[in-house]
Amino acid sequence: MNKYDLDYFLKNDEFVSLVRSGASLEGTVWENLMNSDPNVKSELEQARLLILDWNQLPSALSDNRRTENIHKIMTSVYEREEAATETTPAFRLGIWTKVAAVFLLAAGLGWFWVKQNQADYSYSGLTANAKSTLTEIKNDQEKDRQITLPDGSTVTLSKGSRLSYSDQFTTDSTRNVYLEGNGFFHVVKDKTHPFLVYTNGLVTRVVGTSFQISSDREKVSVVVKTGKVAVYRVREYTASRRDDLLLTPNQEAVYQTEQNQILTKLAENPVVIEGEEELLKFDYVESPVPKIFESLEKAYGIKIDYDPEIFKNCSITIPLREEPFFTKLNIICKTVQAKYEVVGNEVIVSGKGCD
Amino acid sequence: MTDQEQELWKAFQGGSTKAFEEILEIFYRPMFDYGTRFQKDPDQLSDDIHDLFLSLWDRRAFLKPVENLKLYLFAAVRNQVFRQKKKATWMEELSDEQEYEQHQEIDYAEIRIIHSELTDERLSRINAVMGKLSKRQQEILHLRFFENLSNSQIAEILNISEPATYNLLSKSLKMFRKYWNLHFIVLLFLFIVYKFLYIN
Repeated sequence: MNKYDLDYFLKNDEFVSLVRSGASLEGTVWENLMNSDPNVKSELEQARLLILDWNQLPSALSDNRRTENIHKIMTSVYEREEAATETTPAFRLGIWTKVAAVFLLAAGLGWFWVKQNQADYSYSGLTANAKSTLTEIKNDQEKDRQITLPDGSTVTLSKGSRLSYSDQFTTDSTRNVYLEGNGFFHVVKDKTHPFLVYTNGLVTRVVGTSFQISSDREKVSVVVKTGKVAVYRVREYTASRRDDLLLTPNQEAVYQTEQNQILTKLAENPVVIEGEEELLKFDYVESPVPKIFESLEKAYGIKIDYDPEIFKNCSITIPLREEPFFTKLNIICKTVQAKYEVVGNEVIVSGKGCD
Repeated sequence: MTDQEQELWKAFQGGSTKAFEEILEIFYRPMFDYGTRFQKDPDQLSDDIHDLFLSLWDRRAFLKPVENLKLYLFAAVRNQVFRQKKKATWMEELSDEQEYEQHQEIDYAEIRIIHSELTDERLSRINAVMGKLSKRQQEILHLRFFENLSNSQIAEILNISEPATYNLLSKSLKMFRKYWNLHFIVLLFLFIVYKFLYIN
């Protein structure tokens, strides 16, 4: 089949435009092409006629119908415009404004409903509902204030913080304390009388340890220094459910009041666990990195996840006495060209290792 | 796009009913003719274009500036028709549109050829051949030769790539050519018979 067939001409933008413009083909490449072969000439001629005819195809729309249809559209448009100007300005709200208004109303009602049905776990709510009479201690001083509870446990209250405890503190089955603000607790061990701190919607339950609670309206943070601490949401604790969250030293639980949610993470400034200080009291000289990681894990009670195979040939000399945990980690990682990231409660170290 | 069209579009977006009417005057017929290539029912097509323009009017403040008004409106009418069809098939299993189409094809292919005036012969022939093609093929040939759009402009309206457009055009032309040559022979025969009867 000849390349220069009907399709060829009909598909060519230039040919179509030239024909439609009504210009003559004389002196163009098309004329040369046409004269080269009688078959091409007949195809080209057919294409040319088709293009011209196509243009004259009658419209499927009669003039009357066209006028009528346009008129109908314009009438509808005018009606809409009139309707829009007739309504008073106060109610001329866009559809999105209306949607937003309805949404806000629903959200407001929902909030009201939730508030009505939700128990009040704030400090004032909890203390007001306590079964026994309470003793309240408030720190109005500019500096921290240390108080001693009837069982011998101590609490260091920050400025503006307050704490309440029951008159039957030592005889109740649990040692209940209500806290607003921040406090560092050092709890005397008594396995038969668990020590409970109520802070907003969060319950911190310990047997005997030290830990820090910091709270404001939005959240409560619990960081463990020594021993083990369990945290619960008040609602679940009262329902005597046991899906508690156990915290070990240098772990922090953050309770978000609004979401009623507990998240755990590494403490921002991990401290060496009491009794493990000896581990870091000397300089590590040409020590394998896995051994150093082991010491760090033990000293801070933080899990460090790494591949011992990769780092077994890496040996470094490093003093680990004073610097904070993350500074130490940084120095080690830079020395062996590794990276670390904190994921949840643990640190993950990755790298290529050493030759 | 011409400056005049740019101005019209801007004025329309600003809420000018006059500019809107002018756009209708310019583009209503080309849009309708294009629409007939895939919506054979003129009443439904009128409704579709009506709905399309009112929706454009309502959304005018949120519409983006357009580069080529004709391409924009063509793509819009195409979308509107197909949206409506989709809705219609949801509502009723058997659409009466198919019956309508079959009827229309006979009208194009047979009746009009025989009764056409000699001067209209070539035009009828195009129409007749077009009637034999699929909607998609008719559509692209319409854009190509009735609207004189380039391959890239067609690609924009159909929302397909340029090579795909070129392929579709090739296939459509091949079909067109097949029926075109066939009709030429049939018509010649009919013409001779007609002349023969007329003379006698």
